[in-house]
Formats: sequence, C-alpha cells, structure tokens
Amino acid sequence: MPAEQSLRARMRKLVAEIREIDDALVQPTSRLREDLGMDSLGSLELLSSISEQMNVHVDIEDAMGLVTFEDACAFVERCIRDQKPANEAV
Amino acid sequence: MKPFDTPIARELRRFADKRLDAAATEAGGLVDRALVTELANLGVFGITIPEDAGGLGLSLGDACAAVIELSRADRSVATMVGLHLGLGTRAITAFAAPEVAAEWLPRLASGEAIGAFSATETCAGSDLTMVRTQAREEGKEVVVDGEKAYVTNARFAGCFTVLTRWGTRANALVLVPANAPGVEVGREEHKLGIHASSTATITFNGVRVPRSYVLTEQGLESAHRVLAWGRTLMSAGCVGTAQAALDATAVHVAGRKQFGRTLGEMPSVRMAVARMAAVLFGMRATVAAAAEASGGDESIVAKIYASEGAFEVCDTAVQLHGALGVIEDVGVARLLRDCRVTRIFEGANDVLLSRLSIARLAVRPVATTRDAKVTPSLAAKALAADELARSIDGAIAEVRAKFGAAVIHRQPILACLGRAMVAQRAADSVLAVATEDDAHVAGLAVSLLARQGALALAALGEQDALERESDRVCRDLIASPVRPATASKELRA
Repeated sequence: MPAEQSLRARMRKLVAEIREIDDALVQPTSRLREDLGMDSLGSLELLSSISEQMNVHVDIEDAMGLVTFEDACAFVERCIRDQKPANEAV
Repeated sequence: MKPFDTPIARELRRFADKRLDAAATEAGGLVDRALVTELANLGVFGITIPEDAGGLGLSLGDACAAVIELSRADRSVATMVGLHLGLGTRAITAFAAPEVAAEWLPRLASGEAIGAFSATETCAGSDLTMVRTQAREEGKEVVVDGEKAYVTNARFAGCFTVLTRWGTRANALVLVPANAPGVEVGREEHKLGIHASSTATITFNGVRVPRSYVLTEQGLESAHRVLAWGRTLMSAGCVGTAQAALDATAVHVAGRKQFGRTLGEMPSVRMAVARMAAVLFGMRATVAAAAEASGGDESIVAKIYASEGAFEVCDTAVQLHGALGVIEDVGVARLLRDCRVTRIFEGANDVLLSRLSIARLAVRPVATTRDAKVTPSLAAKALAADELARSIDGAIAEVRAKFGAAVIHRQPILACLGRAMVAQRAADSVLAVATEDDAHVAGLAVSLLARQGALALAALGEQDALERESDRVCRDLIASPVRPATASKELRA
C-alpha cells in the first residue's frame, strides 16, 4: 500500500475508533466537527495518536484551522514532510 | 448577590426549617414516601418540567435555588430532588418523542414517578465509552441487557434514563420503567455520606420497552449535555451544604470562649471564617454562571469549584468546632461526610480538569473581555483577575509549543492549567455578581482565587520533576501492592 494511502487508512481507522463509528462514514470531505462529531478532546486524541505513531511533533496551533478529514490528512503529511521528530521537540 | 433568592427558594426555606431533620432522616434509613409526597405537593418535582406537561416550567437557576435550600437542611433529600430535576428528567424533557413525553412528564412532575439516570458501570466510570449495557431492536420493541452501578435514586425511581450501546458502536439513551419485567434493583450501598439517599446496582435482564423509548441515538453527546445540568444542580447542593457549615460555625465561634475571649475574636479564627464566606460566595457565583449558561464548560467550573469549596468549608467547620466537630449529633461531621462524594460523581474532578484544559488548548485563543461591569470598589481586584487571565494565555501558548498534541497524555500539566482556569473563571463569576453591599467578601474571594490560580501556574514548571519522582515511588508500590486490611471480608475475598 503506498505511504499516502496507508496514512489515510490509519487516520480513518483512528477517527472511527475515537468516534466509535464505522470506517466507511469517514470520507475525505467529512467535516471533523459537524459530520464526525470530533470535539476538542477527539481532535487532540487523533493528533496525539498520529504524533505518537509517526514520531512527529504536531503543533496544536497549526492544526486549529482544519475543517475536513482530508484537511487533517494533508496537515499530517506536511508535518511528516517537515519532519520534526516528537522526541526532539523543545 | 441574590441570584438564588426566588419565590420557590423562600417557600422551600420555610418548609426545610419546619419539616427537614437530617439526623432523623438518616436514622430512618432512606427518605420516606410521606416526605416525598409533601415535597410533591409543593411542586418541587415539576420545577424544570414544562407547564403543559404539568410542571412549573421554571429555569435551571430556579431548580438550583430549590436544591440550595433543601441541602442547607438535608443533603440526602436534596440529592434525591436534584438528581430528579437534572439527570433524572432532563433527557426525557429534551429528547423524548411527544407521546413518550406526554406519558411520562406529568407523572414525573407530580412526583408520582421519581427520575433516575444510569450511566456508570463497574468498568465504565469516567470513561463512558466503555459502557457495555446493550440495547437492540426487536420488531417494534427494544431489548435492554446489562448492569449499572451506583445508580442514585435507584430504589425511589419510577423510571431510569439508561446509557446503552446501540448497534455495534454507537450509544443511546433509553427510558426504562422501573416496573418493567427484568428490572432488578440490587441491595443498597452503604456509603460515606448522604445515607438517606438511595444508591444501588440496577440489572436489566432482557427488559423490553417500546422503540419510542429510545430517547436519542446520540447517546454519549446527549449524556454529556444532560450531565451538564446534573453537575450544575449538584454544585447547587454543595452551596447549601457549605452555607449550613458556615451558619453553624458562625454561631459556634460567637459563643465558644477560650483563653478569656470568644473564638470569634481571635484573628486566625476570623481569617478562617472569612475564607469560608469568601469560598462560599465564589461557589454561589460559579453556580449562578453555570445555571445561566445552562450547561457546557461553566457547569464543569462550577462542579469542580463548588465540590472542592464545600469540602474545604465543611472541613474548616469541623476544625473550628474542635472536638464537637467530630460528634455526630452536632451535625457538621455529617456535612463533611455528605459533600465528599461530590468531588467524584458526575465526572471525577481530576478528569474534568483535564477536559477543561484540553478544550482550551484546542481552540484558537480569543481576546478576553469582561462581560459585566464591575462594581467600583472591586476595580483593583478585577485587574488581578485580568492579570491571571493573561498569565493563563501565556501558559497555554507555552504548553502548546512545548508538548504539541502529545499534551493530551500529560495529566499533571493539564491539571495545573485546569486549576488555574477554574480559579480565573470563578473570579470572573464573582466579579459579575458582586455589588457594593457584598464587595468585602467578594473582594476576598477574588484575592484568594487570583492567588490560587497563580500558584497552579507556578506549579507547571515542577510537574516533570514531580512526575519522575512519583514514578520511582510508585514503581514498587503498585507493582506489588499489599492486600488492604480495611476492606470488608467479602470484598477481600
């Protein structure tokens, strides 16, 4: 599975687990808050899990403008590309 | 500040002074049916139920006022009523289909049926996603199976609002009549306090209810909305308990003489009593803010501040009573016992502190402005509260930068931030309701809160070292725990 797809599949699974919904309900255009019911705790849980799994620092401030699931995936891709490993964060 | 001086509060104060006797209620076991009938005749059980369903159609603030007056006299009675007005009926009022509301709300408003809410299970306390009680559709009915623990009002209840699994992953709130075949109420739990309130395990064995009794399929979200009401009413109960402790202490220190003068003339006693009054003022203010907001984070602030405030006030009352404080007949020992659980139920404070911090960390910061005009003599105090707010903004930015999303796992950090936020929001609530008449006590409340908030922020920098030291201490303690000698033989087995 290409890395991009793998990341999206992993994030889809995480969102489904956090929200306790079927994976199929998590679509690229799904809005995190309105459609998927991700409150502040859910959003931070998602970002934190990604941060842990990918060993990458995820900045909360930068993540605040995310609206859709696709936004979140693209954001995490950027974090990985810029690669500031979590354990080196100040 | 008179936010809870309402007609129903005044009526209940007269009733409570004349009729309620916490020691007698406790001695008699559970709150008896005759008392429930008297309360029902006053319209107490219908305070928050719409008028067209037989209730009084009053606000959450009115319900808080009623609970404050009842808990001043008897926390067990107030717990029964508060639970009914909040968790026990809120989901039915808010989410029930018209025919279900028409069937149940008049009975709940009249007190014929008492409401109860069952969410907690032995493996699902603060983490309600672990709920295992299952509801499934069978034709036009829903079948409920499972077991709920620590259900308040268990033995009084005419119906339960039950948080269940629904389908494979979602949750639902289901109304279950207490007399439905398959509902079993377990033995009464013997608790530290609120002895005359009912707490028991409820078992649902293949209980069948109409499909329309599924109040909402957004179970967890809805449960949190209902819990916000429950927390606000529970916090109101804390205000009543703390008021009773302060009243008793003022009488005691005015009359008790030691070393040739009354306790009330001694500076340290005066400072302790003033602190009790200031904390109580803050508690009232946070409950007023939560009632006005009708839920949300304000209810969390009120719950944390009021439950901890009540325990502090009651503990000081016991201390200032000296040896009399631990004698049950005096009554202040009961107040201390009765309020201890409030730091645990309807969301343990430790968990709520984290939740409050996370909600703040995950939103874009907004400029803080004071909504209400501050009474002139408290202008300097308002500056202290504003300074605390700015310090919190700074700390939030630092924590975000340092930990990123991984902060979610740093509970000690979240707790410090949460404590500072509770103090700041409580100070704001105090300033919002204070007038020139109560400026002295309000001013002291803000001073204490600003200091409390600053201390919480100062502790942020120590948490890494404390966590490491604690890890070393706990490594052996928790890896090979010693069997406790205090539990009952049954539990030890």
